[in-house]
Amino acid sequence: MVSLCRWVSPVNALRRHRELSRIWASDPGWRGWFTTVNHTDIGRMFLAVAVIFFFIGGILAMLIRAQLASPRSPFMGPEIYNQIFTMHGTIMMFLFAIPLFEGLAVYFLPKLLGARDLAFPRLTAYGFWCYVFGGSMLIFALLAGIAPDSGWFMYPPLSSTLGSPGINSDFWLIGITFVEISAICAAVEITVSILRYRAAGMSLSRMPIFAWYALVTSLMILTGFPPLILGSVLLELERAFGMPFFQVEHGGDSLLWQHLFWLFGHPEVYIIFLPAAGVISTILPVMARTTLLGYGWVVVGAISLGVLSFGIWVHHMFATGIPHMALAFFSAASTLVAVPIGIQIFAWLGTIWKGRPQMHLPMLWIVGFFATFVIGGLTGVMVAVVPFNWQVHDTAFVTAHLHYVLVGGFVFPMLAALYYWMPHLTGRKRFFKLGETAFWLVFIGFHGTFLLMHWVGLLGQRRRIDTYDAGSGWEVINLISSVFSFVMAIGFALILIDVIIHTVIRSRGPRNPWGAGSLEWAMPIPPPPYNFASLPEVTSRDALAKSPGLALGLAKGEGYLGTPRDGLRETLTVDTATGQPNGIVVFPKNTALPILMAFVTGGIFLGMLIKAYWLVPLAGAGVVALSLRWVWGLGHRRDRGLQDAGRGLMLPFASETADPPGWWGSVFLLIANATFFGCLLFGYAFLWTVAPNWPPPQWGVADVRWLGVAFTGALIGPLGIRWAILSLGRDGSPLPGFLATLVGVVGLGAGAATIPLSLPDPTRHAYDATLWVIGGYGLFHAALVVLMTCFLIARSAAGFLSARRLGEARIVRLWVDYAALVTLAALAAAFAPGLLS
Amino acid sequence: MTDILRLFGPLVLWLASFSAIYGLHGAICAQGWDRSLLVMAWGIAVAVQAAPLLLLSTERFGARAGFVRRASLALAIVSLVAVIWTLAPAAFLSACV
Repeated sequence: MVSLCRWVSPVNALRRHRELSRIWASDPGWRGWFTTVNHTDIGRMFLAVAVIFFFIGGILAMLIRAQLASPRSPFMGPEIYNQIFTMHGTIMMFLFAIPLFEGLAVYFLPKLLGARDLAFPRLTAYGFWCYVFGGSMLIFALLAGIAPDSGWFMYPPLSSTLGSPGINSDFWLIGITFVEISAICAAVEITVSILRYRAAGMSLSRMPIFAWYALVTSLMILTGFPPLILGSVLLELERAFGMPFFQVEHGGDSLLWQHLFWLFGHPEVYIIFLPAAGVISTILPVMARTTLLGYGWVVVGAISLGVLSFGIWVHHMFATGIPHMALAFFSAASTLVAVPIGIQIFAWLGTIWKGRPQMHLPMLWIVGFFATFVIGGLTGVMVAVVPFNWQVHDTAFVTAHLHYVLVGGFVFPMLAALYYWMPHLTGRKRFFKLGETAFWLVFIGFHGTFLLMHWVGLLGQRRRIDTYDAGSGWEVINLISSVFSFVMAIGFALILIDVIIHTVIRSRGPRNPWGAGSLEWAMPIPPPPYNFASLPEVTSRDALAKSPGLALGLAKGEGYLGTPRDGLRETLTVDTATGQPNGIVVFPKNTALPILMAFVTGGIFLGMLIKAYWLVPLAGAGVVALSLRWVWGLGHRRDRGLQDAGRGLMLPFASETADPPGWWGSVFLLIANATFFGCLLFGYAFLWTVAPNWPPPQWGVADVRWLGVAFTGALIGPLGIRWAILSLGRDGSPLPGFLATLVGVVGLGAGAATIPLSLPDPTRHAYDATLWVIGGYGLFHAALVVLMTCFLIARSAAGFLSARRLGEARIVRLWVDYAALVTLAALAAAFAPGLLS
Repeated sequence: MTDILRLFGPLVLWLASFSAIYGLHGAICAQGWDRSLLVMAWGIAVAVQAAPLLLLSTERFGARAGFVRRASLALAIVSLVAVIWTLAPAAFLSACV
C-alpha cells in the first residue's frame, strides 16, 4: 500500500510538469547527445550501443559457422578466422552482455526504486563514453585486420610477444581495460543508488527483486573485474617493457594469467546470469498475474550464488595439472552453486503454479529460457565433474555448454525484457506480431545449432579449429548446425525489424499495459526526464498494485519534492535498512565534462597502445585537471540548514550530512581497489610457491631509515586527517591537520618508492617485476592522497568546509587510511622475505 | 550498511576460509609440510564459520528487521554447509598428487 497523504503541493500538475521538464531536460539538438547526464538518455544510449555490438558479434558468429559448414573450407584462412572467433567472444562478453546489464540498470533502477536519477549522473555518462571509445578501438582493430587473435581468454604465451608479436593482443588488453572503467563506474553507482536512492519507506524487504539482483551483480563486478584488470596490466607491462610475469625462464608462470583471468571469468558468468534472473523474477509474476513465490528465498539464493561463484574459478583449469585435492575443492564448490540456482528455478516454477499465466511474448521467451538454461545448467554440472571435464576439455561440447548458459540464461531473458519494457521505452504498443515468429526461429535455430555441437564435441571436435578433414565424421553435424545457425540469425533480424516497426508506427499504448505493480509504471510513458513529478512513499513491495491511483497522485504533487526549487535537480536519499528519508541530493546539470574526460582518459590508453609514451603523462595530467574541475562544482559555500522536502518533512542537503553519496561511492570504489591489491599479493604468493625458477637471484634489501619514514607517515597521515576533521567539527582551522596529513603521506610515498629503488632492473626476474608493480601501486596512492589533501586545503580556503559540511574531509580520510594500509602491506611483502631469509 | 554486512558477511567469511585453505594447500605442496595442517585448518574454518550463525541468532548482533534476520540466518547456514562441503576433500584426498 502506498500512502499519499492529504498534503497538496502549491503548484498544479501541468505547471509542475513544465517546470520539472525545463529543469531536467537534456540540451536541445545534437548537443544533447554529448552533454546529457540523465539516466533515461544514457540508459537508452547504453542499450542501443550494446545491441549494435550484439549484431556485430552475431555477424562474426555467422562467419564462423559458414567456415565450419564444410570440411577444408576455403572461405577464410586461419589468420582471419583466429581474429573472428576471438572478437566474437570478446564482443559478446565485454561489449554486449555487461553493457546491456548496465544499460538496463541505468535506465530502470531509478524508476523501479522511486528516484529521479542514479547517484552520480556524470559518472554514468563518463562510463558510457569510456565504453564507446574503448569498444571503438576494438572495432577499428577488427576492420583494420589487426584484431586480437589469441582467443577471448588471451592465454599467454600465445598472447605474449612470443606468440603474438604484433599489436593485436595490445588492442585487447588496452581496449578491454578501457571498457572495464565503464563497468566499475556503473557498479559503484548502481550499488550506491540501490542502497541510498530509494523511495521513502522502501526498506530492504520492500525492494524490487530486480534491485537485489542488480546489487549482487554490482558487488560482483566490483570484486570480479579487478583480477582481470590486474592481469591485463601485468601482461601489457610484460609485452611493452619485458617485465616477465608470465615467462617461466625468469620466474614467471603462464598459469598466473589463467588464475587471474578465471578469478574474473567465472564470476562473470553469474554477473551475466543474475541480471537476467532479476528480469525473470520481475516479469514472470506479472505474466502469471500473481506475486513472486519465496521472495526471501530468492534473495538468499541470489546472494549465495553471487558469493559462491567466486570459489569455482579453478574448474576452468582442471586440465592444467593441478593436484587432485585442489581439483576436488573446486569440483565440490561447482556442484554447490547448483543449489541456489535450483532454489530460484523452483521459486519461478512455483510462481507459475500459483498464478494464472498468460502466454504473452515476454512469457514465451521465459519459457524458452527455462528449456534452454536447464540444459545448460545440467551440462554445467557434468563439466564440474573432473573426469568428464578431462574428456571434453577444449572440445565443441564446452562451446555448446557455454552458449546454452549464456544465450539461454541471458539473451532469452533479455528478449523477454525487451518485449516487456518496450512500451515503457517508446510509449507505444506492438503493431504486427513478428515477435512470435522471431521467437520460434531463434529458439529452433539455437537448439538446432548448439544441441548438435554437444554431439560433435563428444565425437572429438576441438573448439576454435578453423577447419577439419573430410571423413572425420563431423561433416553432416557441422553442416546441419550451420544451417540452423542461419535460421537463428533470421530470427534475430526479424526481432530488429519488429522493434523498428514498433518505434516508427505511432500507435499509442496504455500507461501500464501489463497491469504490473512496480513503480516504473507509475509515470507517463515514455518517461519524462524527471521520472516522478513528486517522489512516492511506499509501504509494500508492489506499490502500484496496492494503489492504482499512485501515478495520478504523484503527478499532482502529493509525494515528496513536488515543488521545484530554484531550478535544482533534486531527489531523496534514504537510510539503507529502513528506507527512512534522510537527505536531499542536488544533481549536476547537463555538461560535456564526462565525454571530455573519457576522451582524455582515452589518451592514456592510446599512448600505451601506439607506444607514444609521452602521451600517457600528458593525458594523465589532463584527467587530473578535469577531475578537479569535476568536483570543484559540488557542495555549497555556506550552511543551508534543513530544507522543505514536502509533506511537512524537513531534511538537510546530502552535502551537509556525515556520509554524503561521495563517501559511499568511495567505500565501494575502495572495495574494488582493495580487490585489485589483494589479487596482486595473491599473484606474488602464487609465483613464489608454484612458479619454477624461484627464489630470485637477489632479495630486495630494505633501507631501515626509509622504512622508519614510511611507518611514521602511516601514523601521522591518518592522525592528521582526523585532527583536521575534529578541528572542523569545532569550527576551528583544519589547516594544521591537513599539513600533518601531507607530511605523513609524503612519508608513505617515500617508503613506497624504496621498493623499486632497491631492485633496479624489473626485467631481471618476476620477483623484481612484481615488486615494481607493488611499489608503484603504493606510490600512486600516496600521490593521489597528496592531491586530495591539497584539494581539501583549497576547498577549505574557499569556504566549502564547515562543521556541518565535513563529508569531503571524511571521504579523504578513507583514502588516507587506505594509502597507509597498502603502503605498510607493500613494504612487508617487499622486504619481509629478504629479512627472513 | 550493517544489515548488508549481516547478509553478505557469512559467505564472505567462507570465501576467505576457502581461499586461505587453497593457499595453504599450495604452500604445503611447495614446502613439503605435513598435510594434517590442512585437516586442522578445515576444522578451524568450520568452527569459525559457526560464529556468525551463533552471533546473528542473538538479540545483540542479529538484525532487528524480520526479513533481514531470517535471510541472514539462512545465509549463515548456507555458509556453514559450504565450508563443510567444499573443504571436505582436505580430509579425504591425497594432497599433492
